[in-house]
Amino acid sequence: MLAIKNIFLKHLRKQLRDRYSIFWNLVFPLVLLTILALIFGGQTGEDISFDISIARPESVRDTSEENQSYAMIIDDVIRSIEESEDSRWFQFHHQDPEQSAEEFIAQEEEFLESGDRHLILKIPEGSLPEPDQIEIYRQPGSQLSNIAADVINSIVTEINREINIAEGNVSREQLIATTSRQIDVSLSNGEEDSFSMAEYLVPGIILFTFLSSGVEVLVGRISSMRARGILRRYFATPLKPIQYFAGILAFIIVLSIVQVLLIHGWSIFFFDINLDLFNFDFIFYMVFALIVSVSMGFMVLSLVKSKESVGVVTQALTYPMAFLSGIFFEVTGMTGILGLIVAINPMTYLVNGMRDILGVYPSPTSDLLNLIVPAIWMIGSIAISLVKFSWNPGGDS
Amino acid sequence: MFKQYLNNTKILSLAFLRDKETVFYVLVLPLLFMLIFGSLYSDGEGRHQDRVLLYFEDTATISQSEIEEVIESNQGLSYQHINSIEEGEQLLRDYEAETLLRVNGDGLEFSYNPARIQDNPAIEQQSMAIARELDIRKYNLETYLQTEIIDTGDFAGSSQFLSLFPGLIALGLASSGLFVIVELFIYHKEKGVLKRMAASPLSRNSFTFALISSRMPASLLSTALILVSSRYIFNVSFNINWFLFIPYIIIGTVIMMGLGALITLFATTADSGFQAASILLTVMIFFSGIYFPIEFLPSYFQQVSRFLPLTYLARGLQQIMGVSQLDPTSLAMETGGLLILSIALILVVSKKSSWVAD
Repeated sequence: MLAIKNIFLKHLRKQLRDRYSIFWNLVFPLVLLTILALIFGGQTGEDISFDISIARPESVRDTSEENQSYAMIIDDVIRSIEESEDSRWFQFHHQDPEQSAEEFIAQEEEFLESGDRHLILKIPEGSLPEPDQIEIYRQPGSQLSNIAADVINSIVTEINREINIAEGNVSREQLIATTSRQIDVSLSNGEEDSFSMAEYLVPGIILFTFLSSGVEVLVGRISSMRARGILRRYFATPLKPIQYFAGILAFIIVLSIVQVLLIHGWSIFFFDINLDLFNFDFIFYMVFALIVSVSMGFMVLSLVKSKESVGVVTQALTYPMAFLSGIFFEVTGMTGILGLIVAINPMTYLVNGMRDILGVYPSPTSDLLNLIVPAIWMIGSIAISLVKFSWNPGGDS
Repeated sequence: MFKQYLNNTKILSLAFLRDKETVFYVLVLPLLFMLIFGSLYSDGEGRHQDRVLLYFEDTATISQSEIEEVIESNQGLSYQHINSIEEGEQLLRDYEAETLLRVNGDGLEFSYNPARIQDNPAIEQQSMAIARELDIRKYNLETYLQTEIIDTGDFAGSSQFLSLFPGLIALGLASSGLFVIVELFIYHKEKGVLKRMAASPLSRNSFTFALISSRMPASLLSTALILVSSRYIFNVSFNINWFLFIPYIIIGTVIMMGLGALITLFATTADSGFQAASILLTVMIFFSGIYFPIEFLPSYFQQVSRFLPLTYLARGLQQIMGVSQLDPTSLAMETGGLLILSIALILVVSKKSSWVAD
């Protein structure tokens, strides 16, 4: 028991002394959670505003009382947007009175190229009932410019509907009423709840840390000590391999517990979400996920002997397993070889199971698959490790 | 002197390319990310057609054939009839479809899965287009005000998908250049390589330049791999300004070496230098707009991106590869400024560093 404790403490001290390990194992998952939740969760919405230039025509054709010009119609729409709650999404830029239309357009085109504007709208000269065309200049390299163009397209569609009603082509009642809604994906107490991207990401980030602990930390440490001949020297002492295994496993378990606690605390502090991570089902499933990761780590150590190759293989394994599993974002639309990787990836099923148990998102895969596929990987990895693993592969030190 | 330089460059280039980890980070990792993110962002192959689930209530006044015709006219959509709303919602939850269209009386209700945050805006646009087209067909409505979208610049048009590839090339340059100065001035010193070199007739400058030059084949190879793979896997071709592109690859690698030199000024051991470089590379990947548009980050993170060379490298490559508008003045200013700063940093580190282990 003392030997196990000493091995455990050795790895723990190494972890605590190495600030870079602290960053990668404890801080980086929190950074990743924050960035992904901010980007995919749309929580940056308050910072987004579309800068749109309105280039009015020099003159307006046929502006009789009964034929309203498009310039007037668009002015009305812009005014109503500016007076509404939606005004926070838009910043409209108009021509100065002393500026000519040409000067204004030239100036705004420069702003569009430099990214200070997202769109320029060139309002047509025409009037109703003759059709005319509004030109939308966008900067295709800018995502916001593309989104702004889509938004303006939708507004123009609404304008056309209103004009059709005003022109008597159709009545408002006749038009197809369109509504949209988000389906309920929450499983918590059977009550409807709004979807939270941060909640969706928390189980994924926990699983990512387990994957990292099993396939990177564990593998990195054993392969390093194996390569330097330290393990061979250890086992020349009364220390048994099983004691070393228990010691390093205890370290991985403690590291994982700390990671889960940190992620949980961060999600409460930063995102104000409090998932029930400590219910029995979830703890059981987390332990299962950690065992799968650790057994895969041993499989890597069994199949790849040199320290240099182990580093490459773990990276080559970790990135596709993490990105092609839905840990960070949904990947079910993949086809071909990537679709196959998603389908056989144990992390796909583990993350589905974790989200389902926490009530964050119902698993798209069955409970049985969420156990069987990772279990197959686990059993396969253990079987390979039992046959091929060596604490001291000859000639490598 | 020149022969010494050439021989050293050759030996160091081969040694660099024999290093499995280096080959992985410089050549394989950008390709891996290209496959993953390219498939995610592409609208074409590698992704399923968007599927609309159709549910008609008994009260529906819009005929099935009308809606089917409208959906069939959109090549990006397919449809599937379902027997109940519950079945449709389950298919949405299981990511088996993109939207559920419920026809009730003479109204349409579109349902979405909130977890598909990236896809939902496009799906919503398509849904609205279906409703609009139905109105137009049913009542022969006029489109009084038409829209014409005009892309500024003389390039084919950009998207997050197209911007990904210049970003990945920049990532390859970063992986290739960032670690070299740490390796040269700390790792080789710790290992006693520099001490042995100092005892030989080899010129110090010749060795330094040879080591810097030795990274260029890897940068060029990484770039070529991304370009060829993007062409064959995603059928993407770029309007590359080759006159600027090749020098920019070399300059970009030197700029990343300059950042490595900055790390070397503060790192005390090779391990801490490599670790700091890895952390910086990871930070840059997230905040330089390679995988996610910078505009979608909160303003305080957008400020961070302004201080990262990879942001400018990726932007410069986007311009040179025709993905965004070429702005020669800002490109020259940004690249020139970073290059001068990088060379200055490399020279400072070179002068300051001793070749003998502490």
